Amino acid sequence: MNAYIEQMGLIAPELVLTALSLFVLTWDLLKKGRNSDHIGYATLVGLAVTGWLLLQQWGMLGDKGTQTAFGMVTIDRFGTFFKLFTVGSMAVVTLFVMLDKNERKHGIGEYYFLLIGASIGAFFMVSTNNLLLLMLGLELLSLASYSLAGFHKGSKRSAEAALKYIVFGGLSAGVMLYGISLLYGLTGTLDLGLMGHAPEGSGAVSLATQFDASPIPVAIAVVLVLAGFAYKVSVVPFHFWTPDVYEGAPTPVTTFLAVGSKAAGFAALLRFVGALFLTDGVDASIVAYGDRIGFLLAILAAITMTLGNLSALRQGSLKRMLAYSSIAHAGYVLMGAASMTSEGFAAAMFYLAAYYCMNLGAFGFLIYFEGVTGKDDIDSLKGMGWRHPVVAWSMVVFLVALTGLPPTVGFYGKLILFYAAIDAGLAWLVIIAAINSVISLFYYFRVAKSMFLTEPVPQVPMRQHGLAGILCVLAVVTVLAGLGAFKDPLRGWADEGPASLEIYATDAGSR
Amino acid sequence: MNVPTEHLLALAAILFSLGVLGFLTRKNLIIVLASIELMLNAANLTFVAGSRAWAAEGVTGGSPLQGPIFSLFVILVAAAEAAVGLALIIALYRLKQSVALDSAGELKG
Amino acid sequence: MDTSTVSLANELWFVPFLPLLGALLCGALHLAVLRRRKAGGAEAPLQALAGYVACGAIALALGIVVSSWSTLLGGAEAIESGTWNWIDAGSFDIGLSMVFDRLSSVMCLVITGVGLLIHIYSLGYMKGDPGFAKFFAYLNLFVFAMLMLVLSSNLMGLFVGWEGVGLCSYLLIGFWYEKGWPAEAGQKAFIVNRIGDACFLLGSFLLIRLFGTLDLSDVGASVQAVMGEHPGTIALAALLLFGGACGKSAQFPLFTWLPDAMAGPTPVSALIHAATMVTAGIYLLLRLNPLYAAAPSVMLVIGFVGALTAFIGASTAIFQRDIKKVLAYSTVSQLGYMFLGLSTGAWAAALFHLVTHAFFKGLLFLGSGSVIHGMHEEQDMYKMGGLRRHMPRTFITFVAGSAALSGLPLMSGFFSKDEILAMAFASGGLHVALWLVGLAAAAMTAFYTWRMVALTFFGKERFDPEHVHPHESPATMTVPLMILAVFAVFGGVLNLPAVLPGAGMLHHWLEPVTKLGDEILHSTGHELHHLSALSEWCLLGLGSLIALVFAHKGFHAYTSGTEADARARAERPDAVGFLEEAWRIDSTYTRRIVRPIKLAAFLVASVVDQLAIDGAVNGAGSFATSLAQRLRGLVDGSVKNYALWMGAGAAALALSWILI
Repeated sequence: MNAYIEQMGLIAPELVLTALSLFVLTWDLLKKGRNSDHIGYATLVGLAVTGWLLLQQWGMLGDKGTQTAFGMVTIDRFGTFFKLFTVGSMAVVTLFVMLDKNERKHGIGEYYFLLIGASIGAFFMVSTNNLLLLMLGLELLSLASYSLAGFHKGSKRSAEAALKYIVFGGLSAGVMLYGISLLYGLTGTLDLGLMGHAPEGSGAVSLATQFDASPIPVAIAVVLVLAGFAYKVSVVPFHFWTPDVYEGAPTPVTTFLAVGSKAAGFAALLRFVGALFLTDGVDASIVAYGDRIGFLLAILAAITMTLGNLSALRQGSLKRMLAYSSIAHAGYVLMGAASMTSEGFAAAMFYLAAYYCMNLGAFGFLIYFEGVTGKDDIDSLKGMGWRHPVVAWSMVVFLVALTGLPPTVGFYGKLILFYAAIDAGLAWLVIIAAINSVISLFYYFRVAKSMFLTEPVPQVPMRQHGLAGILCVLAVVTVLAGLGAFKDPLRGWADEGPASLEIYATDAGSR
Repeated sequence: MNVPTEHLLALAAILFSLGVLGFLTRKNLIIVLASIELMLNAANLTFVAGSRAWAAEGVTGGSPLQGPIFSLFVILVAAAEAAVGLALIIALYRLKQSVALDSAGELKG
Repeated sequence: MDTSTVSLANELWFVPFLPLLGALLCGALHLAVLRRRKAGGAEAPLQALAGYVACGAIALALGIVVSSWSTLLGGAEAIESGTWNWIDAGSFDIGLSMVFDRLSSVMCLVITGVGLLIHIYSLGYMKGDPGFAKFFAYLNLFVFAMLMLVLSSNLMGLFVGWEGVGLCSYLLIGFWYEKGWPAEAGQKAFIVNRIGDACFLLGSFLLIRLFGTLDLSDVGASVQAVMGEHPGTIALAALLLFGGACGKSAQFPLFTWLPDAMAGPTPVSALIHAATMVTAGIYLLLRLNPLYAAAPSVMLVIGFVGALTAFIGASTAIFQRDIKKVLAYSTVSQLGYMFLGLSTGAWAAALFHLVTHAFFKGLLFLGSGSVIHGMHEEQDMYKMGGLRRHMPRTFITFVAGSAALSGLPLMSGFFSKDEILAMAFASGGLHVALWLVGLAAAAMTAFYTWRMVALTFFGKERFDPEHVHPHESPATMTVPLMILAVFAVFGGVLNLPAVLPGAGMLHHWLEPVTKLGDEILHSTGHELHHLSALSEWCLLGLGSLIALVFAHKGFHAYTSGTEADARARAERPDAVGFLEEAWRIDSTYTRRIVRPIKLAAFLVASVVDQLAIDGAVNGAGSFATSLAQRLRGLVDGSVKNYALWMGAGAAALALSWILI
């Protein structure tokens, strides 16, 4: 029992977050929904503590992950990488909520509670090798997200968004759970490590063995689980909910859905695919089997980025355009997974880190813009560049990054992704991605154009200095990271992430 | 009475298909949520059936209780989802006086 | 490079980046000026601040350069900053560091030293210009790019600087774009330089193929290993890179942009189009000296191009009326000398002439600027005359610069030009012919220089005393002139000929850089021959004699006025016209190249482009947008349809996995 309690230290960040959520909920109840600023500050402090604990943990982790709670929780560099970014993006979203004029009307502390709850879900989702805990984390994240999407109770759009979200979420959860149950039935285990590579006497049968014996049930099971992940990270054709929900949800929530929730989904997807298929050269049949899934993911990536970008072309609403842009970016990240090499996985992780940065910025700009004009259509952007130059230029930086042009982190990330894909023999995918980048140029620069090249429409400038400051910092980070600053932590971490995955996967059986 | 595993799996597959069909064809939001419950129960049945089959063969990867435990958690998840789902349906009803799925069609493009 | 003689110094990053910071600050100040102008406030303090910021940034950079240089004097071969690894993606990486070695130290001293003087001069020259702050922003940006060019450890970084100086040159030539023709001149410079840059890029790609790297020291070190195997490829790469140098350094046949570039403000002509940017080509060849040493045929081409350019430039300068045009063609001609020097393997001699040229040509341009300033923006020498009484300080310094340019004995230009000619003579063979051409050009140089002095400062006053009141320029302009004059006169001590005591300082200084090139030259039997003391003395005497005689001729013929030109025009109208228009090369380009291209472009634009290309592009565009519209129809807001698509997608996935 003592050893068990000692091991609890490994999930200290999660415990802190849980305590924080309970504290926030209780405090809000005691305050009866009055001024919630203090709760926001408390949330920020709690997130800072969590972030500090995670950094401590990173320092102590070796190349190999450790497990706790009877093997349910796996603490490794891969998971901690995503947890760090979840905490960071959560802090930025909390700041957005605190500074957003629209949200202040609804300003009640449950907002923070739900956000923290969602991040606890994301935390467990990225740090487990067990499908049960993965599913529970995903559900916790989803349930909190459904409520957040419908947070504007009086708004029809918000209610519709939340409803669509939960209906599709429920469907995909049902599909995914059925897939997991089939996987369990086929392999006799819920542990991804054993499922990928089950040694003699471990009491399980590896998926590859079962695939050789009965390919059709295995294919159905894996596709059903993948469909669940694909829904979470909005891969075409499981993306239909995305634009509707993103548009209807309150903008800070959209920010969280597009950044935190999606990245956590990708983390789980990478872990799933990595554990089952990234077993470099262990067994010829497994390699063939991994190549096959890689090819499938490559096709999905190509369709996703193309459809996302094409759909974004004709959008009038900036919010909806960013929703489609986030779908396109899911396609780019999927390229890394499709490479089926640890280089590709590291590239996907790095690109996700870049994605956090540029999308937080772009959505932050949207919040600022909605605060100033009360609208979200691109035509209303006219003259932003002259009236709010600092914010507008920051947005230009994010747009350049989203397009993938130097000297921003978006370019750097794409370059690494492209190299990984070429090394994996997916040159055709890289060509499609490059064409897609050109397409995306059109709609991203339509935004810049209406900000700068069009005559300003008279409007009352309402300055939001706090938001402008955050955007500025994000823009500077985007450029500096693109110039190679923070490379040591970022590239290093991203490179070490898949290493910890892989070693765990091949090591699981000998445990 | 010893029901063969194949029968259980087939029943689960039928349940799952019924859930999907219900989801696709029914208009009432509450019934749509109920269809999702059906899909979840198909998963439950598969878990339990799988667990029994592996135990009968004497092969127990990890723990033989994994399957049934997962089913318990699925029931929990289903309950939580139903709670949130019904709350959101009520919110929509207040705004639109309807529980039809089609009443949510404002956001598109 | 021997690591024991290389010390690490990250402060080198500040050398280029201080001017960049200055440029950004000046740009911000310019925006502030515009805003204040709109509001009707006083803008003068902001403008002045921009000037001080710019000068301060260059002065600080100069400080770091001098302190690093003193480290080199202590015996280090090079100082290198830490490497900035911009990108490493698997098999591909780009790393960049700043290398301050014997060669780049000299370049940096010239760029920041002469640059600082020109910045200070501009404080006076540009005073009252509405774009004062913008001017300094561009000027600082130029210095940044130029320092990147000379400090970069690899060709990629060098190319960034190379393009950067081209951009700044374009911006500064067209600085007064409201007038119309400066904007056109800027475009011409830009386009002509693109031809050179295309060659440069092709050359660099060949280098990557040959050596697998663009790191300059690695390229230099591996030439010897590769030259036996791929002599042809090396020669082609060297030739292509020389093509790039021809564009930037205004050599035949790409020199036509430089005279037009005089449309920019005069300090720009001094800094960019005389002292620094146009020498980038020389720097490139010096930096890659092992490559050129391994390609003797290309060296000969360089010699021909250099001598021809020297001759064309000098002969064209003779009949120019615009004082800045004289100096521009003179610059073209002097750059030709430098290439002639390089072609003989006399690396140090070329660098020596580069340095002295920066002094005296910078001085002459600034002096002409002072004259133009005092004459209320008049550039036509026919409308000057007798100015020595009105602007004595400008006059004296201008004479000092002219003496150096024309190679009067003991002046800086005398020693540097003489060394190049002596080397050409000593190389023997075809180079003797080139030496003769150079000698003729030297004679013409002396002639046109003193013609210019006579027309400007001596003789009758040919301007309208009612409207034009020549005046001496303020101290911010004359003090830089005086400083430069001292260097122009005494700069020769840097590299005295072998027969004098204290000879060859620059030669010995540069040895570590040119060691590899010299070795290759030696191994292929192309090494430099040394002249006997007697022949050296004879050549020095011959040079002095030619300079003195022709300087006297030029001066004497024009002190009385412009009649000599009128007489020549009357007697030989064709010849004078031919020379005046720079051998009609520019008009030939217009007739034979530009017009046919324009015609072809018109045809292509009206037929091919409109029908085929535009059709395809617009077609693709409208296809994409109509597709986008259809896709929007897909997302129709109905949950049922979404679910159906998802189901179909999952089924397709499962099927394709099983079937593939």
